[in-house]
Amino acid sequence: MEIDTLYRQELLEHYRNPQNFGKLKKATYCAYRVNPLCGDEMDLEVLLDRNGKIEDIAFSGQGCAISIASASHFTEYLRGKSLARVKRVDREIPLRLLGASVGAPRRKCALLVYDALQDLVKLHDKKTGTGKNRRNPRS
Amino acid sequence: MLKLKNIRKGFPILARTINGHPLVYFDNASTAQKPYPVIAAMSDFYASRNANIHRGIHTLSYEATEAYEAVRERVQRFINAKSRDEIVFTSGTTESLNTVAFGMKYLLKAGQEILLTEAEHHSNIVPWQIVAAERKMKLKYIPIKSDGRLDLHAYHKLLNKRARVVAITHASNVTGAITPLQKIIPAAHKMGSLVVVDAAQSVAHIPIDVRRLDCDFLAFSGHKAYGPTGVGVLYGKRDLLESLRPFKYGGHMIKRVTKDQTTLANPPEKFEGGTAPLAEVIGLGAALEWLEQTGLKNIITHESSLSRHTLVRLRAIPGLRLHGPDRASARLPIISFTLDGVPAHDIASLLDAQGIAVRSGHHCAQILHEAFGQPATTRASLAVYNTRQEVDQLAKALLYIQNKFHGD
Repeated sequence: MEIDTLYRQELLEHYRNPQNFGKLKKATYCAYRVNPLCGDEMDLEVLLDRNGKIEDIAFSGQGCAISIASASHFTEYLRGKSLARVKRVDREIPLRLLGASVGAPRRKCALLVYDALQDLVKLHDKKTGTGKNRRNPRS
Repeated sequence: MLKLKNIRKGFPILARTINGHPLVYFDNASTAQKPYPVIAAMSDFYASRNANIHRGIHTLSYEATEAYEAVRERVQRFINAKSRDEIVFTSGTTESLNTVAFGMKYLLKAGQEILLTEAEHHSNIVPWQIVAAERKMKLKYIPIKSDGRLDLHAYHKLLNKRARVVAITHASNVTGAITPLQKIIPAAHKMGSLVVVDAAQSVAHIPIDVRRLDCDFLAFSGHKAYGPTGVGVLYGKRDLLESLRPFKYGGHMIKRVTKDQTTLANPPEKFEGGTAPLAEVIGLGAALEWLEQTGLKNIITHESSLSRHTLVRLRAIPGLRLHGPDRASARLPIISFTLDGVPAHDIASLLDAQGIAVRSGHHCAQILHEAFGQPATTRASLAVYNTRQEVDQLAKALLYIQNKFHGD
């Protein structure tokens, strides 16, 4: 069964012992996201190095096994990448990292961390003024 | 006695399979499934009786009007209202409660108080918050005890002469706890307060007699009572309905319109501006007829025994915490729980994989979940067509999920 494949021990291990769970001592940007449907909430923080690369990353909050495991995988994936590179990360990536089909009803849970990341990117764009050109390529 | 097999045969959707398993539908507090007579009544209305009501003098329009008004009388009998004019058709409980809150806001004054309970559904909180803020009124919450029952002692302390409205659920959509309205209402009236009852959950499970309750307003939806979505009822005592202002203005709710002014119709038409959900009202009528024929007494007997069975089976699961009264007789067949170390959403997903439909989350009752210190619960809400075998399946599946999460 599909869902049983998703909830395999590897995912549950990530839920029980998530990577990058907690708060950073020093953070460049923080984002807070809730999934009003289920009450999942997540803080996502990054610390950028001088070159704009993610030196450290952490998430915290409460959520279901899928949102926690997804954040655990995805934050690992993001570590060391520059925010400029992160901007181009496809929405399917966190889903793929889970290693089994999530199914439409639970996509939102798996993508909570991705949406929080988009908020971080927006904060970064606002601060550096890099976002504008991307949104209005004609101007 | 209920013939459960026959009852189940009457609900076509119960023949479905979900993820390769026969559907076990335990999400009845969200919306109940519909029996054939309801589906047939609505499709028959469109197939052979459709016309707008109160408008034409042609035969179809006359027939449709008769059928629509006959449902009003059926609702009147169903809740034992004094007059047909006390029955307003709305789009559902939410619109019914909004009609009361915004209809009476002109009668409310700064410094007066509105009492709600911590167990209210958001639809019986938000309209009152808005009205209270607009009218500079005070909003007070009657606390809920740890077993889900209302703290009556606290209620009597909170209630005073400034109370203008007590808006209260007949039964919680999370714990199933039944409110002792027979104690709440006389006390409120003594202080000069009106009482608005949200009967969305109770209407299909316990008999409602508005005259015996002596409530001032009562709201419910069709779709939780085996009827269609898109239709609900607001009951109000006649003189009170007359004093409310409608908030939907347009066709049908008027007596006379001139360039300068409009004379409004009397209740209930005053609140039924625009074309009513005709087929839905017809469907609601069929649902109430079905409930009467099945017999609320039989339904209660079956559902209480099912509740007792569910409580026994779930209590036997280690690490499972039940929210709500211990005794099945003090609650509707709504059973919410948390399972140690397993988030509510994962429970719901894994149950769905076995064809069992439950709801997880805060169930539009965030204040109650806050009081319980739980962000989310899983809720199994039962109905007349559910069986003991289905409950056993749920218990077995929960044990499986628990083992899975704890790595056994």
